[in-house]
Amino acid sequence: MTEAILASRRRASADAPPLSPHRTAEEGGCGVVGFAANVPVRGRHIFEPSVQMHNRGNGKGGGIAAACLDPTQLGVDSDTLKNDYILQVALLDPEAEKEVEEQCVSPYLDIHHKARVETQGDYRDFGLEVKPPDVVRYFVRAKQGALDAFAAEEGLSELSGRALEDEFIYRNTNRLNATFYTSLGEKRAFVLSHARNLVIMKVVGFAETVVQYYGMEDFNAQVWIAHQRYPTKGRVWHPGGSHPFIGLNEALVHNGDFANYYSVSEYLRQHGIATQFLTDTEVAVLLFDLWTRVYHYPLEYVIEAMAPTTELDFERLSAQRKPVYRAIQAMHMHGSPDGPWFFIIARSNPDQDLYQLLGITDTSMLRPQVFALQEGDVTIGLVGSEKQAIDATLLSLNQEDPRFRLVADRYWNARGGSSTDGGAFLFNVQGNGDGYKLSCTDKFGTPIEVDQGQWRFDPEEAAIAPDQAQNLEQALSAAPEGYEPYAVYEQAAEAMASWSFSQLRWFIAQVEKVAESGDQGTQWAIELLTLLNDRRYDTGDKKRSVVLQLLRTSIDGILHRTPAIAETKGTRYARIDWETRGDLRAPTGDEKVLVVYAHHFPPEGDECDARVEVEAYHLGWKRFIVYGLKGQRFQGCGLGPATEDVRLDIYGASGDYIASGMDGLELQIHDNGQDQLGQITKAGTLVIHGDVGQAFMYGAKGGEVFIMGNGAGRPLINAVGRPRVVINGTCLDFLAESFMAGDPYNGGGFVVLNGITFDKKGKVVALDNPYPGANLFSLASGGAIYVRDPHHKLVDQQLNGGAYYELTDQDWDLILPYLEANERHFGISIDDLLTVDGVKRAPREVYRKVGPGQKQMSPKEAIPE
Amino acid sequence: MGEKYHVEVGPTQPRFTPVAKLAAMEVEGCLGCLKCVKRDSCIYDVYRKKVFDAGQVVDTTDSMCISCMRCVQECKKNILSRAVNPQFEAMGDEYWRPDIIATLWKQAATGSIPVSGAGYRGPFAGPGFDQMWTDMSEIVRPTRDGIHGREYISTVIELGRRPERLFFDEAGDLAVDMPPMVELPTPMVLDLPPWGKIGPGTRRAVALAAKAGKTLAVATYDEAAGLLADLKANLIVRVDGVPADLGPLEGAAMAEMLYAPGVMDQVAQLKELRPDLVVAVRLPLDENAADRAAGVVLAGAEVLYLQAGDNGQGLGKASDTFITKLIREVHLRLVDEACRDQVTLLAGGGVALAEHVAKTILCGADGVGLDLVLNVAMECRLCHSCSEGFDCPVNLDTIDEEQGKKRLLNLVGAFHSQLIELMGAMGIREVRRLRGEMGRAMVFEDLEKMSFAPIFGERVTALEPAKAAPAPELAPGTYSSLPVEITEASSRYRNALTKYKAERLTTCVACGKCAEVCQFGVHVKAGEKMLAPRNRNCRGADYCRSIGSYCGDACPVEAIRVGQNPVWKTFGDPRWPADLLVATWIQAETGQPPQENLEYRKGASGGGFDRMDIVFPAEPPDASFGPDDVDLSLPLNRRDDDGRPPVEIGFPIYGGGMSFGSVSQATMESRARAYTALNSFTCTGEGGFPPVLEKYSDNVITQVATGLFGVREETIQRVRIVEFKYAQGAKPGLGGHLLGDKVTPAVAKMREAVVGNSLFSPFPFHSVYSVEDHKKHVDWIKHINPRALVSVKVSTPMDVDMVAVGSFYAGAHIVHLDGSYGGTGAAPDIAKKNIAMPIEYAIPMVHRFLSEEGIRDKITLIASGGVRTAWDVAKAIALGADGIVCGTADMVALECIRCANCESGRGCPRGIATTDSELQMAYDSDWGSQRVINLFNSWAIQLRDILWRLGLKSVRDLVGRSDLLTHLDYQKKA
Repeated sequence: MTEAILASRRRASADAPPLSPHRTAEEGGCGVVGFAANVPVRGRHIFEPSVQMHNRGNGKGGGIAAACLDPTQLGVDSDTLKNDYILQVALLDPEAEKEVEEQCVSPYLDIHHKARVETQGDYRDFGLEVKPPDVVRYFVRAKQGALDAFAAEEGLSELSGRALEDEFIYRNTNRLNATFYTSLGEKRAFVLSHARNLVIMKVVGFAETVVQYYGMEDFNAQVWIAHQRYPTKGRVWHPGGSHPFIGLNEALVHNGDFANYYSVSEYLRQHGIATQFLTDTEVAVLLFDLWTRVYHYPLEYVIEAMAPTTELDFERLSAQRKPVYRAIQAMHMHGSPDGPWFFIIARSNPDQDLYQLLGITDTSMLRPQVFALQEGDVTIGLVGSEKQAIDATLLSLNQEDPRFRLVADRYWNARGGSSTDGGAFLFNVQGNGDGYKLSCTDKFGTPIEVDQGQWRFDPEEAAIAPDQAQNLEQALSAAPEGYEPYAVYEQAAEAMASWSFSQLRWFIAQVEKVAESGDQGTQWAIELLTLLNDRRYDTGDKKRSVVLQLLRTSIDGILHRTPAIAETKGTRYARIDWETRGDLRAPTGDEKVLVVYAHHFPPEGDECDARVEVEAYHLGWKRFIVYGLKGQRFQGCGLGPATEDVRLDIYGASGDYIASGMDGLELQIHDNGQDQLGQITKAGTLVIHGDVGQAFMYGAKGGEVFIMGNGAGRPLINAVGRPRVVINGTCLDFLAESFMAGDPYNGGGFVVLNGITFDKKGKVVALDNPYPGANLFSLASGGAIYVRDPHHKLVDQQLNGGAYYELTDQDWDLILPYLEANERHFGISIDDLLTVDGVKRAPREVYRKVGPGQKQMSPKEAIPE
Repeated sequence: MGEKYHVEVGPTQPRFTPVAKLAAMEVEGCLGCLKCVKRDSCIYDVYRKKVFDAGQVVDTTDSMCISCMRCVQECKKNILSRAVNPQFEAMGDEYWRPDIIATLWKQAATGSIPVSGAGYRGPFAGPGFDQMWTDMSEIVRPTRDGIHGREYISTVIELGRRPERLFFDEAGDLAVDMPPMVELPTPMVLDLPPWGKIGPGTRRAVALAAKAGKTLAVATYDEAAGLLADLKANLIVRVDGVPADLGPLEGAAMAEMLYAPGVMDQVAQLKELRPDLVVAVRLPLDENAADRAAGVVLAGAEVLYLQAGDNGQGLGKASDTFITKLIREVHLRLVDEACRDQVTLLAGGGVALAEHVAKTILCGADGVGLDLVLNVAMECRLCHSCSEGFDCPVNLDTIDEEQGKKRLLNLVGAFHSQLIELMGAMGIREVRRLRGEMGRAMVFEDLEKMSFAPIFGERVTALEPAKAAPAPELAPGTYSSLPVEITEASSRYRNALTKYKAERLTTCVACGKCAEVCQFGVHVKAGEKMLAPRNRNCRGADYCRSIGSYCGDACPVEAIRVGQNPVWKTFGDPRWPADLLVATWIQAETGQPPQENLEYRKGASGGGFDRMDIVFPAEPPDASFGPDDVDLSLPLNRRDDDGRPPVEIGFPIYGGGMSFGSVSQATMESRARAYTALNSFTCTGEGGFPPVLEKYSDNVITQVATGLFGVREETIQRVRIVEFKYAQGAKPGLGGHLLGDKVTPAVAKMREAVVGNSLFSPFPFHSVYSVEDHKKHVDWIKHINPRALVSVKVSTPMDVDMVAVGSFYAGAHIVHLDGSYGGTGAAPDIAKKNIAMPIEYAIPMVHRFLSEEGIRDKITLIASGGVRTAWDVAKAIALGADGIVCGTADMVALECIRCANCESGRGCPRGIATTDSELQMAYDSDWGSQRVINLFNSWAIQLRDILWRLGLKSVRDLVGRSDLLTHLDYQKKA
């Protein structure tokens, strides 16, 4: 069957013009996001994350896809939705409708329903510069006669009904595009999508304008993906190059740029596939369709063909997988995409009532990606370029439907082409007759599990004092003078496991009361709630994500109630926001802390909140609390040197580049940090109470940095001088490449990598492998990495130029103060770190040192004289 | 498959001293002075280490000499000279040029990739492989730094037949038998030598190298049966049909048959007997190659070996066609037949350099066969003595197999590393994905069409250089200088390097007749003595005879000899010929265009600027203004959307980045002082902001390069312009290289790195893998310094126009294009020559693209990389640049001779690009800055003259006026 399809396609494409070595639609990068839920979700919720990622696009291309739709909204019955192809034609030239229909629709397809997608007014009112196409939506099946003729002519009679019809629809679209798009200078029409139970819309503009312009705010679907495009090819006058692109039953959005577009196109050409839109995204989805629909490869192998498993990860594959993967690579390496890419794919399989959201990263993990999963009354899986887009989606959903919560149960990154997760995750929305279930697996089919526990709480219900109320009440009533926040934190953390949500809410309410008692109370309450937010402890049968949601909402509330800067109350806190930014002034009276509500500030530029902070610093402010972030960047940048007396605390979904350039100040992030943090940092303290993103501390010269969780790829590249860093989790790959941080014993720098995580009870547990990456300390000439690796899981193959050394007393003396500070920041005790399999060991039995090897690799040895 | 490929290389001395490029000459009259240059001025102690090998009749001074010419210039009596070694020039042929043979020898001796300073030195483009540049990645996609092992770049290929697709069973296991396949970790096999004095040692050396390098060597059936029987696992055994005795094939890696009609029947027979043996078919790349290839592949061929001639030429009737084109034809034919992916293509013939491996693969081969290059690695001089029945000068047949193996392995290792450099620059991490990827190659013909045809019309000559017409002389008259002080800054050296040399024999009677006759002041009589001839002024015997005043004819005792100075041919290169170097020195000395008879406007590269002329109007220029009224100033901030202050420079040139470490502190300060005096800028480069530059902060650009060395908020905040160095023209797609020798304590301190350890800046910016990352990056710098302009320095890949537009939208004020022939302190030679396009192509492409986008007047377009003269400046601006960045010319002003030894050891023998404690004291910044000021003053004079004669009152009026240019190889359409 496969051969028949290929043969027929080759005949059909024999006259295609020669491939041009150069793409016409070049693009560098973009913002991508997608989510899948077990319940229908309205289009307005793809809006918010799209807006959040404006700075990843330039308004020259945006698009969305939606799958698992609501038949009533489409004017059809559920059988039609299930069985018919939804052919959506974009009319760049509205006059083309009749011709398109006469040449490519009516003769071959039975139209069961036809509608012109309504638009919501003049496109200019939506900020669009280019009029979006008129879209005609047909619900169609192939005419039996046309299908028979097709099968006979193309030698496809072996194909079963649906497979034949799929191919027919696919080829009909090719023909339509060739006639009304590819062959024309002035393009007239093209097919947006033709899948079953999946639609694509795209415009020249930002993605959310699609939703607005075509009135999809209330459009229901269970899988959504969106794309903000940043094409660098000049003027764009139609959205043919915008994402998503289609195969047959899938829509794909892409962030990245292939390094081998031409040879992938050539591979497709050998298989009778002519490209029509000249972008790498198109060839990506065509490859995907070829390997899934025509070759019938299992999804795992399609992913392997796209993002091959190499190096140490290949070695670590199971004996069963190795020969299979080896064959896949030998067969498909030529045609697979190189360069940076991250795909999000929405797939529809109505026959099995299965809808999928898939995120795949390239082997080198060159584009940012975050996955998240939240389970509860409703279940949702999310994937995006930035965590803040995920948080924005949850916020948007939560405001409409509180069954969606503000914090996901789990956030994670994929390790591209790896033996651990394969660099790809799949969210399955599976129908079971009367509803849908959502599950998540990695490339290998291993289920992704999240923290289990209670999630339901009723905000209206009365709060109840817990059993331990007496002690706590005593402490809280004596607060703020009587008890240090830490003392109360310890009690609360201890008691937390036994509390119900109502009891927790009682506790929070008491803390808020303290906050209302004045400056000192506010400070006390913020510190306490921050500790509870930052630290790990047993939350009992309550989901930690829900506990965090309650705590964070409370912190935001307290900060929100601090006096506005215009009030000039002279108390400890003064609050500034977008509306009041003009009121910025020097601190007066007892004013110490400038509270910045960043929510409505732009993420960068002269108007961004980080600029306000720099100006405030020059006016004399030294202490900052920034909250309500949704991806705003650059906090802690631009303050210049000698800022030892400055401190910033960051709450919310913070953005990229925080503390990049930091030279003296202290900055704490009370959540995960994003990408490019701490670049060129010279001095100061950075504490991240969560994970941190890509290229962290690139080119750093110094600073003391503590990460509670994991670093993503490429941390500390080209760091010099004396950066001293503790990472409690692990890193994806390329840790401390070209590290040049001198001699650690004499003022140089180092990294302590603890390779631990926390169990459900908040206890420290070792990761399976402290560092799974294939590259460690490559080409480094100075500094050291101290890895907690009692079972010697690290192997020589991970090194390139470095060497393992036994830990000496001098080494331990060197890192001990940092582990002590680490304990202060995160409560991770040195005893816990030195305990292996329940037994406390000597440091040299637990830690290993990685330092520069004896011989430095040099591409040019001295020419012998 | 998981294992990283590593070739064990190591120094392997040649058996015969390599033929040196230059030879030393000494004429009579040595003073015997104790301060002999042979001791003091030779910083690499070539003379002191001198050994004379009577057996080989070679003097090691010649092979150790790095051609810096200091000894020639410092000799008190000016009697020392160097000349081109005729034996060197006689090596090889037009294709296997002496410089190719010399670099192969070096690679075979060391296993290291050739790295050197200065920029590319060769012709603009050439025939064969030199018609092709490889693309690089920047901003829109990252490069991969494979060479330093920062990232794994796989060079694995599999030889064998592939099925169309795979089948799996329910359990997900393979449900097909995979055909036999030979996996090689490197895409190079070692072929039989096409000719040469070959002995058993030579043959065993090749097979041993194949084994050690985990690759394969082609061998005859008899060799597999005997001499190489122990190495069969690494052999491709050539058989003629199905041999009666299959024994010698037992355990062989592969077999091969020569193409003949019906060959596939023979292959099938052999396969029937040995189903697990991969059998290749060797096909001559002649006029039938594509047809035959399609035929055998459709008949089931597993591997094809496409064979071209020694010089890469096609065979049979295709002898006029080069291997690249022929492979392309075969590849595309197989794509059309939909069977390309089923077969493996190897190609050989003419692969002489590492870049040829990558280019062959780009054209469509999966792997490459090395043939004649193996002989060269074993010291063959390609003299053909053996073919003529004479002795082999290097006794190739007697080479010890271990020695030969090591040299071959070094070659394979060096080629492999260089392949990774090119792939890394392209951002490709799998050599299997490089195959046929013509989207990442740039071909001379296409670039000419794309970039030049819209300007110059139709190309009328092929690559062979036609003779250029002389450019018009500077209009006579006096010109006012820039508002800077111009004082003479004479050479630091005793003897000028001159085109002609007049010598007086001891028979001279000091009559002074010559001084009377000479019109150029060569001969000077002082009292009763004659002074040493001032050779710089000498115009040569022919010229003086033609004007009837030749000193030699006037000498009563025939004591004068005037001739071409042999030294003239020993320095300079097509991009910077000796004429241009000396002319630039003179300008730096005097501040005026040279009066001597030297070509100071263009080089001799045979393409680009060197083939362009400016068309001056026949009518006299506008009399309403004079040359002095021409305005050379250039505003750099043309954005009106971000409220940043205007910055204007006094003339349309600023200084390119050179880091502390790559050049000396005096060099940095000289440039900073000079550019400050000229109301322009210089740039820190990537090695930090040395305190000595702080007082020039208003005229210094802080560079933020991929290594981020020495970059702090402070250094970003103190300047008016911040430059992102995304790439550098001399090594596009590679990071900065500062080799360990130059990482002195002072350099290490500035960069906060480790003394003596090489510093390879990563590539790319690890915070920028895409254009939206780029915007974020620019936003970051703009946030740190709200008053600074941002310049984005990029190289010139195929999509440079997109990069430029993307940079504008990212908020940059300046897009700075650095063409591929730019300068460097250290770069792999393969990068200097092959990656990215020359600036002459990039400027008009970007100018046009920005204009079409409607943003050309909102961004400043700066060009660099191969701009050597005032005339180049004018041409670049006419092509579409607003202004120029200079670097190499500044170095030449400081008396750089482009010996290209900036990168290692003590660095520059002339004290410019060095951090050596002694050498960096060679001059101070008073002298240095005056030299740079003088040079640019002379350029300003020339620029004003050019503009005035074009009737343009401002240099800004010249931008994009490509209608004022002609190209000698083009005919403009009417």
